[in-house]
Amino acid sequence: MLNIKDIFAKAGDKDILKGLNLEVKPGEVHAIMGPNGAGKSTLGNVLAGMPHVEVTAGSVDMQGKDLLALEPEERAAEGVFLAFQYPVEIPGVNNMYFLRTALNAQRKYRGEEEMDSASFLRMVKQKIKDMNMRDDLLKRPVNVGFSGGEKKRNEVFQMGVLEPKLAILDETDSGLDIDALKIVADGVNQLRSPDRSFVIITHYQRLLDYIEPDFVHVLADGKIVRSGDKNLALELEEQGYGWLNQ
Amino acid sequence: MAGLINNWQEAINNAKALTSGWPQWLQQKQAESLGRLDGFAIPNRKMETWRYSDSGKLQNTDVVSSAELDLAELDADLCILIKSQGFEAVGEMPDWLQVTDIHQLAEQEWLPMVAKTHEKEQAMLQLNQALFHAGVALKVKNNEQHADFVIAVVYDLAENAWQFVHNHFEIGDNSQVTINEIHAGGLVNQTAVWSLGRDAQVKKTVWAQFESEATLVSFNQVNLNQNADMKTMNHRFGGTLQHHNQQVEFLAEHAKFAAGSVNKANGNSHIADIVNVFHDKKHNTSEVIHRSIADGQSQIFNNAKAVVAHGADHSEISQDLKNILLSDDAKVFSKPELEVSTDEVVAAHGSTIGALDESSLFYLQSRGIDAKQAKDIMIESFVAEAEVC
Ligand SMILES: Nc1ncnc2c1ncn2[C@@H]1O[C@H](COP(=O)(O)OP(=O)(O)OP(=O)(O)O)[C@@H](O)[C@H]1O
Ligand SMILES: [Mg+2]
Repeated sequence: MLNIKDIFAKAGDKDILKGLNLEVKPGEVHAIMGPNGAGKSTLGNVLAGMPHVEVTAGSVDMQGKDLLALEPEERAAEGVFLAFQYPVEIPGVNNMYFLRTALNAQRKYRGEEEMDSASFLRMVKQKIKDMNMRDDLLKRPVNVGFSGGEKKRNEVFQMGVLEPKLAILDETDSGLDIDALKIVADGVNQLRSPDRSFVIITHYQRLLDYIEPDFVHVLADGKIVRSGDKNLALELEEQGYGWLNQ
Repeated sequence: MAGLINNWQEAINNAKALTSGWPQWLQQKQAESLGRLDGFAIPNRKMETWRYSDSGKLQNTDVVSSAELDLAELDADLCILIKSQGFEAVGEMPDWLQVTDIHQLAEQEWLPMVAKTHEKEQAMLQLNQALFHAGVALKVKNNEQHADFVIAVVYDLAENAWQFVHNHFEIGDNSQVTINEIHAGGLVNQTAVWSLGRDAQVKKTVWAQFESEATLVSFNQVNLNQNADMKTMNHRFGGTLQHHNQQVEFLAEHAKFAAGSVNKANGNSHIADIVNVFHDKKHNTSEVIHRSIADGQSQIFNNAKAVVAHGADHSEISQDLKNILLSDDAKVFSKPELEVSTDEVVAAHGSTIGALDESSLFYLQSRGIDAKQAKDIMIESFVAEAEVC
């Protein structure tokens, strides 16, 4: 699915990723943990194609395609989805209109037929119910006036509508109450399939009780410094990251 | 002004030829206005109202071609085509409406146009008063509520010389009407007086969208009586030079004025959008919303000014000017102004200039929307905020 080889990336003058390697096979769930400022969000931004992050060396292959050569919208249509750590508010742009435009743009790129508004509405109504979100959020401008938790749920809702092949969730669990955490985990688990992969960035082992990862990695100072199974997350919860400096 | 008059001698001759049959009193007024032109300087960058527009463009009288207008597309019940001489009405003329040539106005109905600020900078207004050779007097009787009846006023003017048009719109007490104005291009200096009676309501939308070279200078005077409500929406795009001035006066109390503008400039277009509201009486409300987008090497000037007289308590004023720059060479000047000489006033004003928000653009792109469409979506949502009607 995804093969990241020896990536170096910087933003502004700051070197952030310093030789990062990661391979994600179809159907796998990888959790990425690590201290603040380690470069976790930067990794997500590199994959999604954020303009201000500059990749200076290395390669990213996604299902045989050179991901770094693609525009952000092309990556999306190829199946990359980033649930943002800080989803932006876009005043004046209606959530429904935005999502339908996005879905149809992706379909068009893939040579698929566009979805008419009636089918889209039906599909979206169901998914919003699954996410236990109030459906008036659909009529509001994207993320405007949403609570922190509503913004995170909106990201997962969008993921459900767009059905990506590779979903990167950047601290989607932060700021969620216990019920919302379960809902979000359910949203992810429902999408889990042999041909879909997840990279889940989190600070808390708790999320991994609900979404069982195949691998857990520690990202520190721009590199993966340790990998293991879900027990690594439990270990980190107990020990913290002090051992990194020894 | 002498220089301007020399340059405009042809315009003067044209106008005289077209107005020779007009009533004596009107010809007299025009001659007086022409005489007063000596007191006015040619518009230039030292003037506050022309600082951000290249007035040199006024001298550019190259022949320009305007877009073909399809009247059916205007979706109006009645189209009034204003010609260089006279007008033509297409569609149904209801009995509550009277449209005549401007020179058919009775002398006692004549309303002079005087700029209440920067008066000495108003050579173009003065020139219009001296030279107008076309226009209509449109009157809606009292107690006629026809908000759904759309009247389109189309400026269907000769393209190869300056055209001077003056209109008179009089909306009777307790009447409602919708009036759209459509500018097709050319070289046009247009003025109008709008008088709204008690409880009258007007929705007005002006389209001045030019794909090619076009110059449009306008001055609109709005007089609002007790409880009158005027909503004006301006859609402007491109052209060589657009210089628009709206002046609003509250003649009584409890009236409302709202003006929204969408100004889009690209290439070398210059657009100036000036709105002056005079709160001389109590309990009136004015709202000005401009959304402007400058691309290429264009320049946009936004100026909303409210002057609240001593004793005009409980005036409510809002000025909301927002601007987006799409290129490094484009320029925007944005100036909300309040002059308040009384205590009890509710006023809010703000002005911002910025680029399209990069993180929003990336957010849209990251969901599959290409950069061009993402920009368009953001621009559309930005300008939609100015829709007052
Ligand atoms: N545009 C930028 N210019 C300069 N420095 C940046 C920029 N973007 C990120 N950084 C810095 O790069 C480092 C890594 O940032 P990143 O957001 O990837 O960390 P993170 O691992 O996601 O942290 P957190 O757990 O707090 O979310 C931080 O020190 C951050 O301040
Ligand atoms: Mg982060």
